[in-house]
Amino acid sequence: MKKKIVSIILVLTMILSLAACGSKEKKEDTKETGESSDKSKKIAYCINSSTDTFEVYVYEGAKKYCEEKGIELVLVDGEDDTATQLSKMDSICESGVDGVILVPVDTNGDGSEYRKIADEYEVPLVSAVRQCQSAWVMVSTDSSEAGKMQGEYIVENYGEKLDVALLVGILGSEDMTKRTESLKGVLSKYPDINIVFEDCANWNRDEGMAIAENWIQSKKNIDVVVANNDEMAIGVGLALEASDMLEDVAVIGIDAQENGLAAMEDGILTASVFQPAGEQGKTAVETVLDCIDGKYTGEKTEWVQINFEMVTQDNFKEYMQ
Amino acid sequence: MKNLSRGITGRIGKFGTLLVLLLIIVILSIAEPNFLSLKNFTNIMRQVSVTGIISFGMTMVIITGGIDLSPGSTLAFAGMVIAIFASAGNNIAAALSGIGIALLCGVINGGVIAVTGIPPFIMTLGMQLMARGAANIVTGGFPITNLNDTFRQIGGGSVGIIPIPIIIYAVLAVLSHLILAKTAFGKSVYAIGGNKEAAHLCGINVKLITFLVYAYMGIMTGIAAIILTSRVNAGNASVGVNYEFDAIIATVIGGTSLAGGIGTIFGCIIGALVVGCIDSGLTMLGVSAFYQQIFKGALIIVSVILDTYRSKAVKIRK
Repeated sequence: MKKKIVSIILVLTMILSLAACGSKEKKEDTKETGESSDKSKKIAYCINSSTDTFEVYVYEGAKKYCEEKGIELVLVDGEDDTATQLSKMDSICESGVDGVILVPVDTNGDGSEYRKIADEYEVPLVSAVRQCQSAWVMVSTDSSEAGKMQGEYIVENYGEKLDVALLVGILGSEDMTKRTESLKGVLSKYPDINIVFEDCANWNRDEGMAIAENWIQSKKNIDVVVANNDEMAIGVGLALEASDMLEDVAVIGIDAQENGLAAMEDGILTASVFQPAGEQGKTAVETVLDCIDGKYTGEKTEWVQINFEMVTQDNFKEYMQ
Repeated sequence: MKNLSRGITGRIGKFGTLLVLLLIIVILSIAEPNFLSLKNFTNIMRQVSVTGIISFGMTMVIITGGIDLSPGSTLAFAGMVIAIFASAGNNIAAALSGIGIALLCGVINGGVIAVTGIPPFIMTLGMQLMARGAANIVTGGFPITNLNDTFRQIGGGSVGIIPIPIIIYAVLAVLSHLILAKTAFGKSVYAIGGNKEAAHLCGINVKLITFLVYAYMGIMTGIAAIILTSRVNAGNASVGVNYEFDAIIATVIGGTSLAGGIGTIFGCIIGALVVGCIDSGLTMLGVSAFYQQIFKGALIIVSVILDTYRSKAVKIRK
């Protein structure tokens, strides 16, 4: 009997807490999207995870553009879980939207499960940043391009005889695999470029810092550190700074957002590859509008490609706002 | 024969972890000559200090038979608020608010667990989600960077050759050890984990002690948040993922029984060093990240198997 009561209370608290979370989220969203009187268009923004710093920058770009245009943009958090993202996308479509912008959690499949939901509610599906192969339109960069640019920059500036240490993001994620593969593709052409370390710091600054400290302790020579993103690269830079080694080692990342640019100004980061964030979000919204206007029909997946730009000590100030 | 094996498992229980640590150090030193140096030792100590401090709280929580899955998220939440104040130049407010927020999370954990009696696993899992959400709300997911230079000294500075995080780690180790081993409160913590009913019948205020243990865990997390935020020079809502597991691993490897009632702060430091040495050593050796995961996973399983034997040995002795 006692067990029963306890379990009932447990279930109730869980339901209550879930309900509480839900209502809070909604409030948050309507507040974020602004009190627009023009409710003619409503777009769902299904983000992979609200803790992904770069994706939040992209979303902010989309939000800003929507506020200007009086479009209602609803943020739906996939919590880094495909099943969660799918069910939440279903719910938001059920509530009635004119289009869906999707940042898929998992990009390894063809994404047909997302398309199925979109088709069920007859709304256009546009993927942003990360590619969904079944979307009407994919707005994204070519991930492998960034790694290639890093590699070419290294060879051009530091020569063909180097010891390189590599820091990669979450193992198996699309950005990690493509950026790493294309970087190695460039470096492998030069027999005197050795990859002395290759470690995973899960995109995080603190983990990057700890790993770099261990590298430094091993006393092996490192000329250049290449990271899959800026946060990990900044971690490396901080470790180098603490050991007075910033002068000796070049640190190269990807993203070149506010945090990365600030680190470049401090000399912690040597160079980075700029992936337009806000611009990408804005383009995603524009593409959804194009879909609604009939420019894209969704019969064949199209690709709106966004280009990377190399950011160095010479030009980083142009990217600061 | 039975007696002999009992004696061995009992002894392994007491000194096993220390032996394992020495063995690891010897193996890694042979494989990588640069591993065994004073500089690398300080490096490892500094690295383990953040999760190490969390594991002091975790040790107490686990001794009462509980568990806390929220410190990683709490750390991120506290870190965000710390970064806001530290980037504005107010370091005292930064430190106090960080400890305050983490304490609040701990108090809520402890309060709800003590009053309602719901399993700590559920309560702290809920807190894990809530604190992570709160961390994101603070700035809408954006990191806060460029804290002031004085604040950065907490995580980056040193007194003589000893980095400040290690000093804080050592002070809290002594404090936690004294609380656990020398006070009536500490004895009550063990009593609750050994047998809740018996502790209650002996006149121990089980609810109050449980509450205080989670509050202490909160304070430890707050201090860890200050160090980490200062070290990485940023508040980031995505920081601290899985730190609770690192703390639990250090605690369990250090001989604290997940069944409650057994455990020491000394063991938990050894446990943290085992994890730290393996992390550092494997990275220095250039072992692929994939293999590192397998190694760490195996380590957790082996340490829990040891724990099972240990509690069996203790039961037999009783």
